[in-house]
Amino acid sequence: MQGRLVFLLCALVYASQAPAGPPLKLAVDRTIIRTGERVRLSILPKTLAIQFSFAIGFQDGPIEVLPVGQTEIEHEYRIPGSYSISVTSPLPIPEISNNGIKVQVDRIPLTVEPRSVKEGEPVTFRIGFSATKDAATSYRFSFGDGSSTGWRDVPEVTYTYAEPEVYVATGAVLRMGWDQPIESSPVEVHVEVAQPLPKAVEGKPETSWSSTRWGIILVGLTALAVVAFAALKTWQWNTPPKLTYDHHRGGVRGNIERKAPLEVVMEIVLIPGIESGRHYVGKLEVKRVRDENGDRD
Amino acid sequence: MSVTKTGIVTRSLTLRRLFDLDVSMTTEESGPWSLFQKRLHEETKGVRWPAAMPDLLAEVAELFEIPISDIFIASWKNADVLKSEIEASRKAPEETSFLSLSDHTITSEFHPTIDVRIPGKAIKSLEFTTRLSLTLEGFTLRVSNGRITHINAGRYGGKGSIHYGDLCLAVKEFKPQALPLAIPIERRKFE
Repeated sequence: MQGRLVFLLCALVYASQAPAGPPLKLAVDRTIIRTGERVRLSILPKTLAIQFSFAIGFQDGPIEVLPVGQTEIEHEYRIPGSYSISVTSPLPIPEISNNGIKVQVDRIPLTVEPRSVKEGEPVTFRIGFSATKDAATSYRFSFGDGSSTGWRDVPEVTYTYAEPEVYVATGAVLRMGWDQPIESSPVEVHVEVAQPLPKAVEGKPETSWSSTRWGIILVGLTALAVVAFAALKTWQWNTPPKLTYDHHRGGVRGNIERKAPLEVVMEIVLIPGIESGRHYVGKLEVKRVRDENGDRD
Repeated sequence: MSVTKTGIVTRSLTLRRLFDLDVSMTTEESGPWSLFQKRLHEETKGVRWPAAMPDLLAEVAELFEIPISDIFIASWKNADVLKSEIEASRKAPEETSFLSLSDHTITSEFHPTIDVRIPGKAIKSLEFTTRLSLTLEGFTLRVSNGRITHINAGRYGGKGSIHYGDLCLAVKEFKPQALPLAIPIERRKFE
């Protein structure tokens, strides 16, 4: 504190001895930024500014010194609010026309789409933070119903509320080098009771359930067919088949050996006669007789 | 007299009895019929046969229920002198002739077959080869109106064999023996 008073006294003394000429001017790349973002301060005109050393107060911490020859500096605001950037110097410097330039630091926004949903419908949250590439950035979401995510690389998440209520969700951003995360602005999500479907629409779930039922039946029948097929194959494997036999005896053949040929050696003929009561009167006649040589007797 | 598995009584002497198939199939456990079953298993690996194939052996025995008279008739069909004598009997249909035959020898080779089927599909055809050489003595045939009606008497002897491929299932010599009874001959057999 004493150092700051000494610095201001010195500045006042130096100002009384400030060199005459065109005034210096402060310029920032953005007057409205988000928490965790950086603002770039330039002291113009550069040809004049490089001749002096400056002490710059961003109002959220210690004064930063800009040495001679350097006319630009970046500053990162981690607390939302309205700040005035003031430039001083222990040595005499030209007048600064817009000293105390205003910068508005807003909270990191958390957007939700849609803001009002039915229970069971998804909502998408997004943390509006422009991450720079010089440090890894992580994001976390708290949905207001006691649920939250862990730290994740993506600033977007989809969530579904199970109960109707108005929830206040928040997000948080954490970068390498930060000692604590920065909370986003809260956002309300209105979750309403899901209305019963009209009768015409009620058919849909019924149809869907019916499809499921048919699907289950189909799967069941398929499984049954597979089991039956396996059982049949097992039965066929374990049970000998019912065999039938067809006989073919046709084509019985025979021949007379030439060495022992067949001859009819005798023929006896029974000539029918007259039946008389219980007696039969006929004639038995030897018609032909051949010997072994075939000669007829 | 033999009884078939269907219960039909026949007086004819058949090859089944001639070769004693029912006995050899059941008593010769390591004999040719066992080899026959093993051969059949090898030839039909895709078929689940009953373990001991009793049905099949019974079928084979049934297949050889062939009257020996059929062998005689089949041979006599080829004897021109007998054919002419029988044909001559048509001229006096009221007469009955008794033809005494000289001693002669007949040979026969034929191939009875069993087609094994499962419903709708034939899976194996079992072809057997039967060979016979028989000497017939003192045979008398009763002939009437152009056909043999009976084999009245006679003695037979000789040898025979049954084969499945190169596997000899039965081989037997038949000592001369008389036919048991007069054998009636069905009309169709000699016509």
